[in-house]
Amino acid sequence: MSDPALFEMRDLTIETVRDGHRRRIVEGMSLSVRHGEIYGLVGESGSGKSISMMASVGLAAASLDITAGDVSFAGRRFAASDRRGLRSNLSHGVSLLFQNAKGALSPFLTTGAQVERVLAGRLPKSTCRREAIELFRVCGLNHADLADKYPHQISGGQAQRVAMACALATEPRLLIADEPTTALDVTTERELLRFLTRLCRERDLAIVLIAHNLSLVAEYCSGLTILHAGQIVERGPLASVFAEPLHPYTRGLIAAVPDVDAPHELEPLAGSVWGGRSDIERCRFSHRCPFAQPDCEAGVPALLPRAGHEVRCILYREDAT
Amino acid sequence: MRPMRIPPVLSYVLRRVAISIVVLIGISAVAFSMAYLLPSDPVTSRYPDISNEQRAEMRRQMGLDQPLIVQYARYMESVFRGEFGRSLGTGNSVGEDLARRIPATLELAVYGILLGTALAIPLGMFAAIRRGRPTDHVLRLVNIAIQSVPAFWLGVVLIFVVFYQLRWAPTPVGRLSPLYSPPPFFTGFYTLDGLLSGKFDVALAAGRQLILPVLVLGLGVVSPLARITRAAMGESLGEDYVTFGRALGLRERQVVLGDAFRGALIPIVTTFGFVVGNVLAGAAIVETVFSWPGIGRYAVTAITTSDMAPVSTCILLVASGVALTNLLVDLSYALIDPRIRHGYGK
Ligand code: SF4
Repeated sequence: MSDPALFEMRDLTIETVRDGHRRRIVEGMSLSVRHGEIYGLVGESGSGKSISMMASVGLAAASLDITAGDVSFAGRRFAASDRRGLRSNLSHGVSLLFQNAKGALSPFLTTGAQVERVLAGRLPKSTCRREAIELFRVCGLNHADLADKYPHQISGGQAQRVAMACALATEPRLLIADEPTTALDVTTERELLRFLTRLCRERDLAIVLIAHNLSLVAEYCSGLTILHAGQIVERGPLASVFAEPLHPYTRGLIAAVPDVDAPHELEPLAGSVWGGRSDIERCRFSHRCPFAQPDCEAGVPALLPRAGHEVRCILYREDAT
Repeated sequence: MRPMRIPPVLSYVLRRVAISIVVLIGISAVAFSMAYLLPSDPVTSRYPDISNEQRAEMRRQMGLDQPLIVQYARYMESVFRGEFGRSLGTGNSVGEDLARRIPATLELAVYGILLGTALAIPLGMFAAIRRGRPTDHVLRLVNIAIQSVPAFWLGVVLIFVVFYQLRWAPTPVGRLSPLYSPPPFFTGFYTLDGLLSGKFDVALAAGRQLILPVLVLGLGVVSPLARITRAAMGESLGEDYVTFGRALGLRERQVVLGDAFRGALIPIVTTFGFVVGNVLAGAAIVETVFSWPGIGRYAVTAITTSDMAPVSTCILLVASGVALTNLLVDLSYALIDPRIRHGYGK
């Protein structure tokens, strides 16, 4: 792994005030993605996975305080709180896909016009049409059929491909895909993910695949990070994590994936996500953990290297018996 | 051979126009009865010192002794002839009177609405973008201040300060100071007609007369429009398509003006429809304060002298204006949002 990272997020911390309490909704989040890699970011809703990726491109909601961390992309480093700087990456190699592609496309423009308007940012006007036709083709869409339609006239799967054509129009080297297939049926989901994998190979495109569905990540990613309540609980190469899942949360997740082909959500675990008060220091999983013991409440466990990857749980401390 | 198909938008317009005509006839009946029921008597208010026999004779001559239904029928007949009855005050047909006064009111209203909109929309947008920050709070205070100033008071204060004290504005004597003669008629707007006929001094003089009344009328528009712009923009700025537009590296101007503003436009245009109605009502006050020879002042004079035909006709005119505005507002929805446009076909 001498290859330097394409994208690196270090120690991102995001806070907000809710119900009169300051809550740390993301804490010490780090992530590193190499060229052409598909990296999985897994967690249930509210775990901070989307928020931290949005923050990494300067698009976090204004009500969120980004109190620490920095992000580097292709050699340019910005403080995580520098929204303007981070947003400049968006026209220079980082792009996004959203879960709700129909809502993400502008309702006021035809699909063809949306792709062309992104292209117009970096190409002379005369070549935009030709390039748009090519992008439609790359994304498996028929330009003649769809370019004059509005987003409300096409299917969800088509909309996600149009969104992809828009994203590709920025010539990205990193695509942050926030549950891009959740709104689609299983067949369309597979097609789309297979297509994304092919893009990665052909265009040297790296993808951060945000998912609440561990089986998707297992199938397509080379490495993964599992977030719980705004903290990394386990991360490492996919093979190592799946061969020897350490954290009780990860084990719960993997146990909940009986068959990789049947997508499962993270619901089967008991209990809800931790409320996030930043003045309470303990293992944030303790109220759901079958192995919880008094020591778990003593402080936030450190992230420890074990079995070829990293885990945040006191069961794996050096002095643990 | 395919049967001829009426485009869905056109059939929608025709349907709306037909409904509007029925509604307007209803309004004319109500307006006429209300004018008839006014407590004062048109003859007494004009000739207070005549004998009862003379009064009865005058009423008979004017047709006032006829039952209400007959008077209304006569009025409607005159409406369809384009005369709209006869004004007891001016002696002309109401149609003639209005033809002379409508351009005066329109010039005032159009400039007032343009000014108010040009102020309100940027203010509202700016507040939405700065939501919750100090700029937003300051703008909200300004808005409340504007809203709480009544038009007649503002008009009188402006005349006092800007005309009497500062001498910046010309004497409020209506559309044009008596030193100038009106320009030839092209549009009915003295400012435009002055420019079109090359009489720039007349255009300038007419423009100077317009400043204060347009300001008063325009400020009345600012508050509701700015408020709805802030609310609607605040919502549309949070839409996924705005975030995605930003994520695609589109310029902020493209995202905010192109997508977010367009997303906010339907409630703004709806409010704009209400506002036009308010302006037509507000014109009565502003025209009275500034001696503006428009339909507002004409209507006020007619009401105070129980001049029935002008009162009914002015009500009918304002109602038609509001109906037309609402139709245009509805049609603009289809232009703004393709989802609504495609809905017409279904
Ligand atoms: S630290 Fe304790 S509570 Fe937390 S996961 Fe480990 S065993 Fe469970």
